Formats: sequence, C-alpha cells, structure tokens
Amino acid sequence: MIKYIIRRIVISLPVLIGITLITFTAYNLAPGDPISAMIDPTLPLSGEMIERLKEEYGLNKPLPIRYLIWLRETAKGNLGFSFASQRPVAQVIAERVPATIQLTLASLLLAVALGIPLGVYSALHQYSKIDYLLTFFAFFAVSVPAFFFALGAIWIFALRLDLFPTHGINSPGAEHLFLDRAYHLALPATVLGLERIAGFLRYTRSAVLEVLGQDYMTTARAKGLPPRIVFWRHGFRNALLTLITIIALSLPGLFGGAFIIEWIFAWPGMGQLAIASINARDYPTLMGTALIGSTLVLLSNLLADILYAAADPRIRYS
Amino acid sequence: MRPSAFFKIIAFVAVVSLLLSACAQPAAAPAPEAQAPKAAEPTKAPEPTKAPEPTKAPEPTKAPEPTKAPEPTKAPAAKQLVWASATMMKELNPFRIPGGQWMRAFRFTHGRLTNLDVNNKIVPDLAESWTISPDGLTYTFKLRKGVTWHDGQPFTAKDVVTTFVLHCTKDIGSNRIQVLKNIVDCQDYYDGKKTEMTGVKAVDETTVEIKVVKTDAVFFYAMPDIVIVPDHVVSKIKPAEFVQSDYVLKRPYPGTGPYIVKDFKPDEYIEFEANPKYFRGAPKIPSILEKKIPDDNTRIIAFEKGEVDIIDGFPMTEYERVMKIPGVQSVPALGTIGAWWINYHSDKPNKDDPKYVALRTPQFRQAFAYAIDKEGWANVVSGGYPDMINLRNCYWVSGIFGVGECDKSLNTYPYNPEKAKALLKEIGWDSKWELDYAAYRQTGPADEAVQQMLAAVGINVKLRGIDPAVYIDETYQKGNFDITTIGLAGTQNMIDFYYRFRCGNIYDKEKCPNCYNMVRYCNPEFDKMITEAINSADPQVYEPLMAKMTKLWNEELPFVVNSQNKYYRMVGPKIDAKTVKVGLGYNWEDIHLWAFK
Repeated sequence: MIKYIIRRIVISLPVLIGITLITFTAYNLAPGDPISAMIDPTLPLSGEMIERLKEEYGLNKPLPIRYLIWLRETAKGNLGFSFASQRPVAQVIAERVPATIQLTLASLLLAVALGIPLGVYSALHQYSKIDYLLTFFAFFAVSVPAFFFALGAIWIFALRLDLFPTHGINSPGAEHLFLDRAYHLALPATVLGLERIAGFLRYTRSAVLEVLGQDYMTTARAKGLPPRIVFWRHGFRNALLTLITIIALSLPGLFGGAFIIEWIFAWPGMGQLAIASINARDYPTLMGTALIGSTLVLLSNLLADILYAAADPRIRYS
Repeated sequence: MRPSAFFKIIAFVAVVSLLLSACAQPAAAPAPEAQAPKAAEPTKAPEPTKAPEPTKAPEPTKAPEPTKAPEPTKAPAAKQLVWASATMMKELNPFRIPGGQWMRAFRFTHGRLTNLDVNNKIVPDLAESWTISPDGLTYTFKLRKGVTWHDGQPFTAKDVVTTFVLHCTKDIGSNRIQVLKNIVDCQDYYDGKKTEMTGVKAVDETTVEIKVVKTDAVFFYAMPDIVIVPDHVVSKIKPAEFVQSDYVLKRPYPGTGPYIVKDFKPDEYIEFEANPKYFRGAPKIPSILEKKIPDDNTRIIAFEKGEVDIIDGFPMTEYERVMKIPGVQSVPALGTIGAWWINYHSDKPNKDDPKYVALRTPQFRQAFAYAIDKEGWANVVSGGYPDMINLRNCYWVSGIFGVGECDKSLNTYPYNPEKAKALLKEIGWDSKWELDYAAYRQTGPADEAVQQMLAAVGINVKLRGIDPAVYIDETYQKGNFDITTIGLAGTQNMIDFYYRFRCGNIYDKEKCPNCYNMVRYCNPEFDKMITEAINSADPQVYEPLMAKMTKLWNEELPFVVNSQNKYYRMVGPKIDAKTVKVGLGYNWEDIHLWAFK
C-alpha cells in the first residue's frame, strides 16, 4: 500500500505541472494585465509608471520565461509575490486557508451528518411520503444555484428572523470566540452543504437500496438475524463503500463551491481571495490558489482510493 | 469493513475541523480587543506599536491618558461606526494612493498641506496659510504650530521636506511624480543625477518653501493628494523597501489626522480609533470599523439589519429599497461626471474611411447629442430616480474642479431627433454603417436605451462591454472603439484633464508614455489655449481660457458630457446626519465632527 501511495504521488507530479502550465498560460493570455486592472481609468497612471510597474513585477519578460521562473520558485517553496497585496503569495494564502477549511469542513460534516441518515431513512421507507419529500428536496437542492440559497438564507434567517448575522466571520468584541464562530458559520456552512446533503442523500439511498436486494442480505435474514443487525452489519457497511468515494471526491467541489459562498457571506477565505485576484489579474495569487485547488483534487482522488482499500478488505493495491 | 472504520473517519474529520476552528480564530478576528472592556487601557496615540521604530520622544505629561476608562462595560460597542465597502485596501502606501478609498483612509489618519472641502475648494490643513510669488515659481507654506504626530512627536517643516523628497525618489515609486517633477531638482534627483533636492526647503520649523521650474496651474491643486509623512519614522526605512514595509502593510502609523489606525487586515478591514489630540478637536465618534462586504445584496441587507451604519457603492437601482429602511438618512454628494467619448480615429491607417471622416465632423457629434433624450436616459440609469442624476453639458466650471453649474450660454443639446437626422443628412451619414459602442465593464439598460435612441435617427451601434483590466489598453492605448462611456473622477484636476487632449498626445509606449488623448482629438487653437492655461498659476489667466476651451468643446464635442451622479450616501439611524459632510466622490469632510445621535 505504501508503495502504491508513493507511486501515485510521483505520478501526480507531472499531472500537477501540466495543470499549472495550462492555468498559467490561460490566466496570462486572458485579456488585461494587473497594471491595467489597478489603474483608475478616469485618472490613468503615467506611461512611465506603467512601464516601471511592469518591470517591477516581471511582466515585461516573455511568457515561457515567466512560467519557468514561477515553476522554479514554486519548487523552492516560494509561490511568488502578490501584485495586489504587495506581500508573498504564500503568506496571503496562508491567512485565508483556515477560514476556508473551517467553512468546507463544517459543511462536509453537516452534509455527512444529515445526508447519510436521511438517505438511509429514504431507502428503508422507499416510496413513502417522506421518501418522496426527501427526493423532492434533493432535486431542489441540487438544481437551485447556491447563490440563490445564500441570499434567501440571509434574507430569511438573518434579516427577517434575526437568528444569524448577515455576513462575516466573527463579531467585533466577541467574548466567546468558538461560539461566535459557530454562530457566523451556521448560514454559510449550511448553504454550502445543501448540495452535498442532497447528493449524499441520493447516493446513500441508491447504495442502500442496491445492497438490500443482494443475496447475502436474504441469507442473513434467512438465518433469523434481527432486521437491525441485518441492515447495520451486512447492508449499511457495504453501502458505505460507494459513499466513501463520493465523500472524498466531494472535497474539491466543496472547495470550489466555497468561492461564491465566501463572496456572498463576506467570509474571508480563499474563495474571496481568488475572485478578487481574478478581478485584479493578480497572477501569482491566482496561480497559488490554482495550485492548492489542483493539489486538493489529486489528493482527494488518492484519498478516495486509500479509504476504499481500507474499507474493503477485498481491495488490495500493488 | 469493520463497523467502526467509517465512524472513525468521521470522528477524525470532526475533531480536525473543531481544532482548526478553534486554532484559527485569533488570526481572523477583526480586532476583537477593539470592543473588549478594558477599563484602564491607556490611549494608543503615543505608542506606535508596529511602526518601524519611531523615536520615542521624551513624552511629557499627557501621554498615558486612558481612552475608555469611564466606560468599562458595553458602551464602546455602541460607539463604533461600522462602514461597509465592496472592496478593501490591500496596502496603505502614502506615496502610491491609487483611488478614493485609499484617499479616504489617509484623510482619516494623515494631514496634507492643503485639503479640499465639500465644495472641492482648497482649504488649509497642515498649512494654515500660503503665498505664491508674483512670478508663480515659489510657494511658501506656513505650517500650523503645536501639531503633533500620533506618537507625540512634534510636526515640523522637516516632515514636509522629507515627504516631497521621498516622492522624488525613484525607489519609492510615487504615482504623483508626474506633477511633482516640476519641483526644482526633482527630475534630476529622481534620475540619480543629483544627490540633493534644493526645490523644497524648510525655512524654519513652521515654514516650507517649494520652488518650481515653471509656472503650472496643476501643481498647487495636487497638494491635497500629497499625504505628509513623519520624517522620524519613514527616514528609517530604505526607499526600495518602503513598499513592503510594515508602514505600508500593517498600519500607516503615525499620522496627524483625526484617527489612528488601530488594526489593519489587508483586504478585510481597517479599524480606526479617535486621536484625542487632533489639531481641529478630538473626533466625536470614538472608533470606526471599515470592512469589506463584497456582495451588493449582502451589504444592503447588513445595512437594513443595522449591522453596519454606512454603506458604500450600491446599485442606483436599489435606491428605493434602501430608502425604505426605517431611519435611513441620505446625505447628498456629487460624484463622477459621465460622458460619451467619440473617437476621431485620426491615428488609424484607414482614417479616410468615409465612416471615420463623418465621425470626425462636429455635425455627427451634435447629431449624437440631439438624438439622446437625456431625461429619459437619466430615468433608465437611475432605475426610475432621475433626481439622482444631474444632467449637464460641460466638464469645467469656474473654480477649477467639476463642481457647480455649467455656463448658461452653452448649448445643452435638447432632445431633437429631427435636428439630429438633418445634421446626419448634411454629412451624408449612411445608416448602414455600424459603430462600436464600448461600455466600461458591461452594457446595461442605459446603454440599450442609447442604442435605441440612436437607431431612431439612423445611427446603428453595436454594444459591447470592456473588462476593466483591458479598458486602458483598448481605449487610451489602442483606440479600439468608436464610442465609449466612462466617468470622470470628481477630484480630477480639470486643467490637467484638458491638457490631455492636445494634438498627437496619443499614448505610445515609446514615444509618448504619458499621453492620454483617448479620442484622438486635435485642434491647434485648443492646444494654444491649454498650453497657456497650464503654464499659468494665475486664475485670472487660466479661468477665462478654460471657459473659452469649454465653449469650443461644446461646439466640437470631442465627448458628449451627460451627467453627474449625485451619489447619495446612505447613513444609518444611529448617526446624526446633520454632522455628516460629504464632498465629491470619497471626499468625506470633517470626519472629526461626525457624531452619533
């Protein structure tokens, strides 16, 4: 297994480099540049200043050279210097990562905690009213865009019912930081988790339904085992195999979904940073976020495989 | 799979999540201590915690004055003004102030020699008076006495000299260098040809003399943009390292302004606390927290809920919704002047294309102006609140900055489609010709309304939006547009602005890097007048010239001026709106006089 993991990581490196090459080229070939983006068009900077800034930021070098420099520096652990923030990219990103991790993990926990039990319930009560209701909810949650839920949630739960704050990560002067953070996290995490809840619900339902019809379930029942034991020991455990993969693979999606949620809830995470960097054409910061995003995708795939093997003794990687 | 394996994974994820939540809180907390009841906490004014080693002067008696001693409990929370903006500064560099939000922050924390009041008139700030020599080449500023920096050090003429010398230092990368190069020796000092600048000198502790190479109408009006920095702090920072110094990235500390930066988290929030020793009097609002709420809707809902007291930048179409919020007060202010800029294409290889020839004629431009129902257009732009828009037909009005009413004798080009058609016929306009109408950012209902109005007289335009990141490149540099829309910042210096539109003053990376004649306008008569105006520091010389040039433009219409936003600023119920003064754009005047009800 260890060899397998090492091999997978080694194989991932050229993939990662390929991703960075494509993203670097795409970002830099997009119209505009950081200097133009920072200029107020009603009061343009002097041309001399523009050229000076281009030189200062290394934008006057050819694109391939700029990529190679970026790659070399990244290999050394230096993600570059943010044009917009005038600080090292690693430092800018490091400040934002905890907020994003909190948001994504909280929503993942919520999605697992709600999606799986509801999926099990839905499967065990197939074609019941609750099953139809949950199915409707799942399709609704998957179909409606997150920004709509976000604004609706703010309007209802923050403004009308006054249960939660409209935005932000904490209250000025809060005394109980943990509770205050949870209070601020409630709405964005729920909104971000809605789509996952729906997804996990549906996957769990179909996985459970599939195992319920298996021969070994019939055998277990025929042995006279109580229904609870039959389901939890023989049914649910096997249904979990699919879910483990789905949960692991949902991590990059959550990370990406956090972009818009962070923007709407003024949650100071990487998503907000990435959107602001796109507007500012802050290439180094964008590359930093892209690198983290793509690494996360590769790691999630690997994690899914590892967890799959850990969960199913029949699977062995070599 | 063992039954517990899955739950172990879940438990692990839960524990990691909670740990991360707990660990990360202090880093992301917007200065929680700001509101914490710290009864005996001394005032921060004398102690610049993060400033690069300010010299601690022998602080006399008043230093350890407790800020919030009498109100140890929840009172401070009610005394903080919360300001929500769509963006937040990522750095605070006094030598590179790129826009209004930065300027506002520096207005709160720093002084300058002169300032602009709500009517955009020059008023004293750190300089209590000034004189200009009869030849217009020497400016003498008498500084206020008794002003101190936030750390207690006295403000002197040396601080002013250091500020100007640093602006003329290449490694600082000042974005005001273009206008300051007129100071004697500034250019040579910038280029490294001289090691000393004689153009700015401290005559005594409270007198500064600035000599310029040539008379320049713009120079004096640039003074409100020059933030005076403390010599005893900045002289310890190497110019090349300034841009990455704590002074820029953590807090621009100390200043001489009404507020002190208490906490600054780039791209998130900035918190100010009152400077009790401010030379115009201690601010009435003890603390201001300005934070970023990027989404327009969230910002408005936060305002509606009372979580924030002032919101910046919301779509005009939301005006009605915002005005319905109980207790909301609106403070009128003037904003950007807008125009339709019509390209002359005088630099294009195919400039003799009949379409471009027609585009260059005053008749086409006048037809354009007559074709637009400006009242109807204002109604669309404002989302049904045309009172939000001041229609206008000129840039310049007496007083140098774009404030006030236009000259009544100017043609307002009232809506007259028949006259527009007649003018187009006169120049043989072909209605099959299609023009490129490029809007800043994206096109909207107002652009579509213009498109329809123009189509009604036979001018067909194709709409497109230009991403802000490519706008300068597409318009100023390449001139890739027939018509474009862009506002003119309220604090723009008008003479400087007019000076852009000289013949051949078209941006070219090599030959003309400081040229921004976006529409490629050329009139030798205009060139002569603007050159004479800019070379004079005497209003009696340049004001009549500006009026004449405005009249000329009113006929030739290099751009069709349309409006000036009124920019109502929305203020929450906690604030006493009578104390709030707002100038053009981000010019928030006399913040120290603002008060809660």
